[in-house]
Amino acid sequence: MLNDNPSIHSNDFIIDVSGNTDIPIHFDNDRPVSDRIAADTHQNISYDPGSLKPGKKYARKLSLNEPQILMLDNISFSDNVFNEIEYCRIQIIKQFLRAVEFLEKNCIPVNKSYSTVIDELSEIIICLQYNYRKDSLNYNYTYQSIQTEIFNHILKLCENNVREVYGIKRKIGADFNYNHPDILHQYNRKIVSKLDVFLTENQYQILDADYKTNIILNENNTNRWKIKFDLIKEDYSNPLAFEREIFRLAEVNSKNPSVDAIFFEASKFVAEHDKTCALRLYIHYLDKDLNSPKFDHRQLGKTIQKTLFSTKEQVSDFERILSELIADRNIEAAIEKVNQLYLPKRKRITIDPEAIKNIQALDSETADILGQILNEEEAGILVKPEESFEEQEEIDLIITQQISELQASKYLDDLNLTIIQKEILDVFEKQSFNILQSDFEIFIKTKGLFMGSAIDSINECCFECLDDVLIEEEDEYFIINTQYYKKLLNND
Amino acid sequence: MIDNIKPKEATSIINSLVSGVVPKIGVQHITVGRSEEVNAFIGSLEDVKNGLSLVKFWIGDFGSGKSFMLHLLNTVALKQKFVVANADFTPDNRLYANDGKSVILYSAIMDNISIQTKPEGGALQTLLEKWIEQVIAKTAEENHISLMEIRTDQYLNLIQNSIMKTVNEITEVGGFDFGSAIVKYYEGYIKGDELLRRNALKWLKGEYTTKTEARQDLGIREIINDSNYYDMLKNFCKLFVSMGYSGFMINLDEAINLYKISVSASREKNYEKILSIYNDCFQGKVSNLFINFAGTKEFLENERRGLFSYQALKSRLEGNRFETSEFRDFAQPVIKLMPLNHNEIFVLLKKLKYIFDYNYKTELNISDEEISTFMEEMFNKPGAAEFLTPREVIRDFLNILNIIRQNPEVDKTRLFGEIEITDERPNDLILLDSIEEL
Repeated sequence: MLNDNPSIHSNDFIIDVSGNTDIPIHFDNDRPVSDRIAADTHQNISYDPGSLKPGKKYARKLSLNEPQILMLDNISFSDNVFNEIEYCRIQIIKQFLRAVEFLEKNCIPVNKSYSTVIDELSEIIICLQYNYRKDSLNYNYTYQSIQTEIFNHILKLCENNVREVYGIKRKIGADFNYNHPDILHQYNRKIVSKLDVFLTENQYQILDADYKTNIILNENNTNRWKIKFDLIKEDYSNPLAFEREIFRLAEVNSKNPSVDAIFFEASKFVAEHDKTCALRLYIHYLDKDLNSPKFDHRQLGKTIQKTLFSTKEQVSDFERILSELIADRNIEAAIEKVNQLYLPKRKRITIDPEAIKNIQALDSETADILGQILNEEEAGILVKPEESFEEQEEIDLIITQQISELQASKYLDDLNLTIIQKEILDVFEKQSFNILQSDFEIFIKTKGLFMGSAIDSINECCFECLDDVLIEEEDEYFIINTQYYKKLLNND
Repeated sequence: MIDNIKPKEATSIINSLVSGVVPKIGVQHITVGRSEEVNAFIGSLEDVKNGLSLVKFWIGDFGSGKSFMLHLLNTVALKQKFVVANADFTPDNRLYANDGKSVILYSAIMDNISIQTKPEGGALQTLLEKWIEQVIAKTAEENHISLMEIRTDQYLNLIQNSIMKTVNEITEVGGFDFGSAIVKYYEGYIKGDELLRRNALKWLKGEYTTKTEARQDLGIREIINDSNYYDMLKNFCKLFVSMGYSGFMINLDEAINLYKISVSASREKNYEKILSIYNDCFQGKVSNLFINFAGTKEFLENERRGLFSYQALKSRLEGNRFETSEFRDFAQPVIKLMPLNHNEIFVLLKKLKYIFDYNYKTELNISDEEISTFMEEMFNKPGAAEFLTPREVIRDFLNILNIIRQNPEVDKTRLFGEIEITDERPNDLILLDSIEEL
């Protein structure tokens, strides 16, 4: 595109290749060139150069008064990555205003002719460094310049203060412009030492960085997360809360290239508290690592691995989950599998029909054998020689028994009850099958027998027939179950 | 599936198992998976009936069925005309002591003596009276006196002499005092002196703590104490056999309490007592005596505190080297109760379902697959690997059957899902390893 400017056209040796419109030079005003360029480019927009100065810029936002605006307009920010962040800049300015207010209120000048300590110090510097005559042009100009330098220095101290609060380890240079020992001494004594105390004590007035600011800060300061991480570790109470905090930390580090390290370190830390949580965080680490420019695939230390895995099976299961994650990048599936890793594996029960048959056959055989034993006739068990007493006793009684049988016994013959035993049963029948033990003892004594052995002998005789005990003790009574009794009768 | 089960047995089985205890009757119907053990002890009972004496150690983990086996043994032995006594080792009783703890064990044994017609225990008095009756009958016959007449005061001396003579014939150590106590019992009976009779019984049960007291009450200079109680047990064994019983079976459960004795010298003395009983039985120094110990694997095999810490016992009780879970040797003194496998538990649950239906006259709709699902749920619950015992499986299964019986519309899968496994082991068993050696 050819330049339409006639002045350039007139010069055949100059060929414009910039593509920019011509900028005519006006000699009728003192405005800087850049201002005039802006004004000419945006002819319809009224331009106020003072509006870019901090005082004007933040006047409404920070509700500044006139002296504050004036003061801020006189200072200059040397822009850097930190203070270019709007939120940080505001915090720096606010801290600066508080600092200046503090100096004005609390640091009283020695000589009452000065309104503030800054005025006093400005005078000292001029005297010691320049020795200008008071109220001379040089004096006035330098005085203003020194005041600005002092405010700028205070501003730097405030920025470092805000940086400290926001966990930025790198500080900006805050050397004072004057090296004269006396000046430095006075400056340190009257300003710096006072400010040091104030800034430390008033850090709490600096608001915490907001979400957006944190993201930017973390992006620029890749290790800033470690401070917050240490706090999270100190406050550890349970794995769920810990995991939640780690995710919050990772969120404000979303633009931080070291975000994967947060999950890795978190996984290492929580391993000794909660295994599943540790594995979940490791999965997140791997996910971030996979999405980073360089895939590191860091391994957890041997000690941590020993804490996390008690069996080889668990190790191989986890390795399989990681391999699948690397292959399919499906983090949800990997987390789900990790959540199941420590749950006991469901055991399947297999019922073997063949084995069942064998067991049933064996069991049936055993039940038969036991059944036979438990139901077998007792006759023939008592075959010991000593038993002859009993047998002989019965022989004696058989004669009488036979006689009684002639009288038609009402009890089953198979029971082989002796006369006295039948008599005892008759007594029970008469007494409605309930006899007081003491009454029975009196009765049995008249027969010259022991109570216990008499009852037992009847129970023994009837046991086979009833498969249970006939005469039972209940409290102070001997009782007979009537159903059992009926079973012993001939005509029943 | 089950033949010859009686309604009474079915009720007993269901009610007892729901309560987590071994049923009093019908136990033969639920011996699934224990066929070889049952055959082994039936053989052992036969041997003891024939005059041998045996000591068996039933070893198994908590809930493996030791007490069930002892109970089954008890039931079968009573049917086979054995006199049976059960006692548990506790911290207050033991086999060897010099502070009365052994006599406490002896008293527990004598209190629990049972016979078929008195299966709940407390049969000592009955047995004593039966034996005296026999002596009376024999004496009457020998002296041609009628049975009625010989029981009068005038023949008291005759009977007393006869008792002493018979006791002396069957006993060796301590026979005189033993016979004297029985004589006193008879004297109390004849003279109507109830106190004398009770004191005699008290002496026989080892409840006298001082000789003076015994001499005052009965005129007997000795008492049953920690050092002679085992001889008294042997005397009783002979007495019972002389009466026509097959033998005397003593079941001692919870042997872990011997393992837990913290003073090693005292523990060793107890193991020494086991050794002497073992030797007596297997060397034929005593007849018709069958002693069973039930304890955990620790009690047997722990080299520091268990029976294996006592070398003489270890050499006797070490298992057959060639025995495997497949090829078992039940002729050994130690019978290890293996946990029931899944197939055995399946058969047992099927049987229980049948018994349950028989008992309640129901036809519950539970398929084999559902039984299998129930088992799977049980074995997959947290803690199942450590704590699950057959007792708990059975109890939960019967509880579920009960719910289904009363609420046929209930969702079975939900019921299975609600099962929880609890650690039912006694606390001291869990803390066993923390016992300090003194």
